[in-house]
Amino acid sequence: VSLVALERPGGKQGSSWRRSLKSRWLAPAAIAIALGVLSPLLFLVLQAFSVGRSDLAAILWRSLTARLLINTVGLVVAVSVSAAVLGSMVAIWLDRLSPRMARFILPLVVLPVAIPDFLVSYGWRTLFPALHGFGAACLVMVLASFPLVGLPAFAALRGMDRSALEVAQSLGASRWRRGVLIFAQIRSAVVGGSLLVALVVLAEYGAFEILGFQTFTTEIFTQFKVGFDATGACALSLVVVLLSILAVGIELPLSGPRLHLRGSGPLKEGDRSRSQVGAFLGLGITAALGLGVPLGAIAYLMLAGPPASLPSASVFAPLWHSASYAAGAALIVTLAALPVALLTRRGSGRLGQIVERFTFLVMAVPGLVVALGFTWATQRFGRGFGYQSAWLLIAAYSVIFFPLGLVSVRASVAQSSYRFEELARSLGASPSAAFRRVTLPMLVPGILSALSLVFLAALTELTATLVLIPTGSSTLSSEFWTFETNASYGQAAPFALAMVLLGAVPTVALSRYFDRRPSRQGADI
Amino acid sequence: MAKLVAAFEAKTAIPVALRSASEQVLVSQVLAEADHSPADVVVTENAPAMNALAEHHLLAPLPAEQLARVVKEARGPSRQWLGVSRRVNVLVYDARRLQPSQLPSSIEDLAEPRFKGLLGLAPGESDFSPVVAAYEHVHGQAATLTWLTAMKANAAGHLLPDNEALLSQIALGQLGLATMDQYYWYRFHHDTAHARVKMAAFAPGGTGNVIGVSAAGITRQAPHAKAARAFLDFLSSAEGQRIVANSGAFEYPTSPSAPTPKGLPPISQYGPSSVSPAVMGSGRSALNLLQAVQLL
Repeated sequence: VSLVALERPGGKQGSSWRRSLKSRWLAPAAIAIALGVLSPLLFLVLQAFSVGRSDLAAILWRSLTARLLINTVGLVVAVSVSAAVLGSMVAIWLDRLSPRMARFILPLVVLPVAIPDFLVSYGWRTLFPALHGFGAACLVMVLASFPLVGLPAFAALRGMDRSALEVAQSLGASRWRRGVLIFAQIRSAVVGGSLLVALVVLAEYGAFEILGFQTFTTEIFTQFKVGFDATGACALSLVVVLLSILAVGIELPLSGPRLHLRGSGPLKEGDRSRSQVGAFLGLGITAALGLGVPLGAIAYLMLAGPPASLPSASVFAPLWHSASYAAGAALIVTLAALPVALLTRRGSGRLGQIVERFTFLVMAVPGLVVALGFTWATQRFGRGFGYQSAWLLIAAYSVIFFPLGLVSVRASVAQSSYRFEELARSLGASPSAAFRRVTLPMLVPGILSALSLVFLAALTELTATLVLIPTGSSTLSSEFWTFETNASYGQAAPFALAMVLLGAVPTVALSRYFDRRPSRQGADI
Repeated sequence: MAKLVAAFEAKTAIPVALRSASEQVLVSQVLAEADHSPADVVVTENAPAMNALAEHHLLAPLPAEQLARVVKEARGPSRQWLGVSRRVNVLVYDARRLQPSQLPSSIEDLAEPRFKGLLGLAPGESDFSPVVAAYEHVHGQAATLTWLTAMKANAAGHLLPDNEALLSQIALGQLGLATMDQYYWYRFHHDTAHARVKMAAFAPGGTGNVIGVSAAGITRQAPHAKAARAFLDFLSSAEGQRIVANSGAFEYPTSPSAPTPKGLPPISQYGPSSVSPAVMGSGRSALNLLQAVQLL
């Protein structure tokens, strides 16, 4: 049975079924999850209100503030647009490779997310000592964040229906028109990914400090660093949250789902051979810049770094802690992202989109502020119960990186349709069986990329880790920090290498999945 | 700190759980934990961090006999902390661009127009705000603002994120001079030899020869107050101070009877300023001044 024939637009029976399902559990669950994710904003607002208004005005009403805002907004726009272009190109290039090649190369272009910003900046500064300012900040951030666009976009490409392209081609559509058709498929993933990039840039601090580029967020950390003034810092963070509301508002009309075609895996042999050389070249350059430069810096530090000044430490215990905390957060985020993403499905109105976009705001809150919020809440209301336990740290990671998981799952949800589920129901399947056997398999690419992205990002998280890590344990990032702040770069390097290698595990698994997947998917039932 | 903790555990058999983070993270964390903090002892790299905790009444007063073991400038203003190690703010310069006779004799001189294009500043460094606080203590607020504005003009294009960046820019010939704690210069030379990067002290007793201290205090509600006192006893003891002297961190112990670290001149040779870290407050006033002239 061909599905195309069964897709009636706006079937009445379907929509009532949809409504009943949603009213029962989906919307309340999604709203509850969103409120949980946004809870750090409450801490931010409470802290900000306790700061003197004149103190705040003295900081905000200066010409420096205007310059910082221009720096911040300029960088956010430049980086998110460049990352969107590079990320889309990477996804399209990967798609042109044979599945075996893609399996090999995908990890190389996703792993930059698992490299601490310090190393990226350090690597570039070693190569080009004069590198600083806007251009440097832009370069480093694009290379560190383009996988946030590339991975969801590639997942979306692999989930799209090629037969539409073939039909378009047979009808004589130009290359340009076919390109537009492809972009329509990945637009939701690209726009969502660029929003994440924008929010990451808004909240970034470490890389800009090294590169000597001031943004509004570096000013927030000055408030912490020189004045030990958390309330002033929180008040300034509200400005960043306002900027991120602006970014979310701009993204909203850009990403509405329009045309989505489903699943038949990689390109056919004929389409591929034509454009493989360009794809190889593009991916090679991207991997060399994004992964090669920081890896080179690690190698250089390990071989030629300054002499050891601290007692050495084993990599294995921190490796285990990092892996288990990051895996815990990846699982929780992915599970929690499902209801929120499902609420955004076609036909569910604005509610889903609004709930979803609001959760993105948490990305703009510095990790330190989120961690202090957890500290404050457990001490004030929970008599310290669970404070500095592994669970609380995993909960903090889950809040901080929720948007990363959500955007990946949403990209797959955007391609799925209730109609498949309705069809299964009409053929006698129970609601849960219909979801499990029809919708869930369509969401697998998004679920897997959500797991990988959150895992990778949690591996390098540092500030919340330092506040909330169980006393006596350490992660790869905290050990890296210990040696790095003592200028023992040679001793810090193995922990960075371990981070990259650990990050390679889910990315390799993910690329194997994309490789295998076509055999299990089909356009027909 | 790891070495001190290990020696303390070996000596007293009291187990120590050590949490490390940058001082602004630790201070914000203890402030957020407030009365429920599980921490017994807090140790920070700079006195303003401890003063910030003291301002929020989160530290317990220390016994007088403990404070008496360290030099006067290493005692908290109302007995809430004691210094564990100390260092001096100095001048570092490019010996190819400046002769010793051309160097400023005081930190006040850094505002002179002859250092335009030569001076570099790291206004966000945690050892710069104590210098600003000391200047304000000596000269008052208005003069400090004038001084900062003139230095900002001299350092146009050379505002850097940290002292390490200042040193490497001097080594590259991009900068003529900068001011920072002396141990940065030693650490820089320990890693690699840079013949052109030299160090000099300001004239003895000047405003700029600020003493910086790393300080320790006991939290007000310390769950293990007795063990915490034993730990501070150890930090200020002859044995603890000897560990500080031998740590290889190029810092000086705070006990007047402790040995001078190998390879360092006696601290008196720098002619330290008489301004005590106690007057430096929590760094808020220095931050306000730096923000007023838009260096931060």
